[in-house]
Amino acid sequence: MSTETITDLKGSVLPLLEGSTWPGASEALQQVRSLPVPTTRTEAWKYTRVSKLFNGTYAAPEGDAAFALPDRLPFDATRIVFVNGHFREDLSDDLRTEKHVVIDSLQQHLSHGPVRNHYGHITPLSERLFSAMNAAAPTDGLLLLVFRNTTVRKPIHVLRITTEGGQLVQPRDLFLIQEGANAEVIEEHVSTALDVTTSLVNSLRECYVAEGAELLVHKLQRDGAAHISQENVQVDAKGRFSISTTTLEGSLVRNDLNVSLAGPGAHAELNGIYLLNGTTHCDNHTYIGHHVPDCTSDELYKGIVSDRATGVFNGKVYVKQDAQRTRAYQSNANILQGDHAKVYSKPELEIYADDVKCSHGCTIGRLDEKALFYLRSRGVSEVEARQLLAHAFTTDVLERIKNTDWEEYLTGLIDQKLDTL
Amino acid sequence: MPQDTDDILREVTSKEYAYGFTTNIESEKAPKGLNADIVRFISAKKNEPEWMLEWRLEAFRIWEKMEEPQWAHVHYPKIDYQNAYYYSAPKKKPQLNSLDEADPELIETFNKLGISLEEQKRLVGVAVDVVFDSVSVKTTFRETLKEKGIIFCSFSDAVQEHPELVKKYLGSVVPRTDNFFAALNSAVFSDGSFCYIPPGVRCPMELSTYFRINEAMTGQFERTLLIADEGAYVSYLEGCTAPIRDEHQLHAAVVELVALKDAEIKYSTVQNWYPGDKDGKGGIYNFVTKRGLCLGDRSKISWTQVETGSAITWKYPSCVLKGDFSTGEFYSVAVTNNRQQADTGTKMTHIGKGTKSTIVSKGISAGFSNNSYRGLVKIGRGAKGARNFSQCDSLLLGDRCGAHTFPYIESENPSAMVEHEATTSKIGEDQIFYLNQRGIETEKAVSLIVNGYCKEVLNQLPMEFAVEAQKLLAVSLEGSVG
Repeated sequence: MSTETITDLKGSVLPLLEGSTWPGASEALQQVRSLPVPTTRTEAWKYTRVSKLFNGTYAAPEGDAAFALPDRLPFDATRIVFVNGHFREDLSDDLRTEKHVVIDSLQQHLSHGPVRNHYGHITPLSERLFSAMNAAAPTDGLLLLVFRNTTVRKPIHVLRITTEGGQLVQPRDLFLIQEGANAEVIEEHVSTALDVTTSLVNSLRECYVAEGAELLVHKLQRDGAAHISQENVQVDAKGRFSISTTTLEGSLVRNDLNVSLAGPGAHAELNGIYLLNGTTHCDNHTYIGHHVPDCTSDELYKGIVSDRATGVFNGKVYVKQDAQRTRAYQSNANILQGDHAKVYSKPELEIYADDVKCSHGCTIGRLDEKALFYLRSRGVSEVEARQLLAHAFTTDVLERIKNTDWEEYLTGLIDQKLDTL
Repeated sequence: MPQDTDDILREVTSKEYAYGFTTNIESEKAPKGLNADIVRFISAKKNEPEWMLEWRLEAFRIWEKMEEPQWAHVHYPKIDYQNAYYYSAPKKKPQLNSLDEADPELIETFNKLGISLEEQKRLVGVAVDVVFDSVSVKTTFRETLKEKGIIFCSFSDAVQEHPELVKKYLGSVVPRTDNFFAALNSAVFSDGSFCYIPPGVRCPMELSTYFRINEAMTGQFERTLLIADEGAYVSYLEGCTAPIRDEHQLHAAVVELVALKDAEIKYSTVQNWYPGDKDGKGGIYNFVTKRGLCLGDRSKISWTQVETGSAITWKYPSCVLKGDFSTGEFYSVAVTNNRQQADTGTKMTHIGKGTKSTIVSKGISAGFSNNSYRGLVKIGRGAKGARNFSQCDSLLLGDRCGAHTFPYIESENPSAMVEHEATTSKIGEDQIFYLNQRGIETEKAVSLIVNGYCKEVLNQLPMEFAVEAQKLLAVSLEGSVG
């Protein structure tokens, strides 16, 4: 591919990225200009073709769009709403009810100390075009600041709504969980129109989990838009970070999750479920860096891939020299159904310390024929039997979700989705 | 076995590299550098027919346009391909009828290597086609094999005597365009082994070749082509040692295996080339392309390798499972110590229905070395009911080495089953303690544990190789434990 074509490709987004006043925006724009659009020859994008994202033309996201607001979650949570990336105070709950907690639009606090000290610090822009694009012109996003030893009482429900196609939405979040603090965030991507498949949601989030703090994130992608997301997480000593990513819809979904275990005793748990049909392409890329001794990580991703869908998993565990007594587990299981469905999995271990216990496992197969036969012999219809087994397949990931209300809600959505696979 | 291991450990404590010596035989070299004329020179030297020269020249043109691959997890100074010799051969001697007539210095070399032809003939019953710096010096058991219709000869002879077979299969598994090193080999390959087993013949003995790099600054480029016709069976052994050299030496071999309907090929390698000294000085660069094609239904190709040598290993013995219900196997032990770097693994490409593959890889890293497993399991759209099982374990001895796993798993068929598992851990302190408590010293305990850890792979080796491999493991890890 010639340089000219690459420039042409980015030409569709460049005008939208100019003129932003966010910190570091102009440097990021320079990076966007110099970085090529990744091709399948780029190792990190080997199985995910993104050039098509640059074929369409995009409009700036519209914050005032009219739409029907989805129902509240069936349990108590503080709701904050972003419409096409823009913060909507009028639709959000009162965000100032909890003491020592800041839940607000990030844009309004860019000049404030804690934000300035952390914004953009753990996101290198020189390697990844999409990070640079986001940093060049973020739409808006959530600032979550939880002060020392504070426990946020209610989960924070971040509702991100895409109302129409053809938009470039760039959510940008910053989560600061100070020493000994606790927080739980539910992030839900929904859409209110069918043509959102032509919208690109390019998100970037930075999370700092300080010493002894705990952050729980539940991420649910059930809109049809194209998603490119990156999450950069730093966990300090004895901190705990746990995330579950559930992908039910989307044209092209790429989730990059980079976790750096930066203090002894830090722990990360990464869970994922992807249920794909149609032509959905879902690519989960995780990186766990064990940079200091005595850290643990546990990763479990499971997916069912049907029709013409494609599931990609790339999990990398990196253990730095001297990161002794590391324990890292990683598992990826896939069920393929449909003659044109594809799964590409690449679980990687890169280890430079000796006193470690690391393992990964990966399976690709179909539902257990013997179990199916057993159920059928007990009078269960084939369709029902398959649904039962598919449901069972996802349960061990669901059981890891610590919030039982959310688990129940999510299970409902997953069962609905399984009916259509 | 434990007794043996202990003796060996003691025996080698003072040694640096047992096979480090060079033989001074006047050799005929092509001038330094690589261009079309060198390719013509090599071809002319070997009296090759026009078609062979054309094939080489085309490969050279392809190579010129290619770039050296950078993706492997290895680091080495840039190789100047124009600063190496591409041909060297022991000077033509008159035809010999027996070993006694051979150059005594040469015989001496073989003796030091412990592969005396006489002894091999008498004791082991293995036919040995010795490749001594690229040119076959002596072929044994040829007559015996001839009776069965088996062709086992040097590649050069095959080009002269069996051009139809060479033409048909050369490059059919590893095409010239395959990769940088394969293209290079295709252009300048010096010699190698050729083997053809006719239909329904079970080769009565293990076929074996010893390779040896002897000439300083000489890249060695073997080409091996092995064809098992319908229903045939052959077990092939390849073992290697090389002398100490300060200059890095490049080795880019190509091995092609073809298994037709119901045929089975078992290919075993013990590789013990000079790995460089403690500080990473010297050592062989081993960039090898090995691939087997299961062309016919129910054919089987099995790779077993024990890799302990070379400064850098870049090697992925692979299977293309084209025939329905064909089977591919890969059993590997890779040991790296000091500053060695290994990036090795396999590719299993499932094309046919009901194809099956098994991968068992055991990596052991010690010292400052880096050991990577890189593998691909690809299930094509048509590979209905394909099955793969992979297991990649890494063992770390020492806190300055690295062990890495880069498996690629791709499935495009819903009826296929793919399983992969990998573990990385340190050698068990409690196991060592237990053995210590029973009066077994630490070094010996480590050797025992390592041998147990590799058993699954070593068991796949033919007997005489298994013994050698166990010795090698102990020697390679010598000095790696506190």
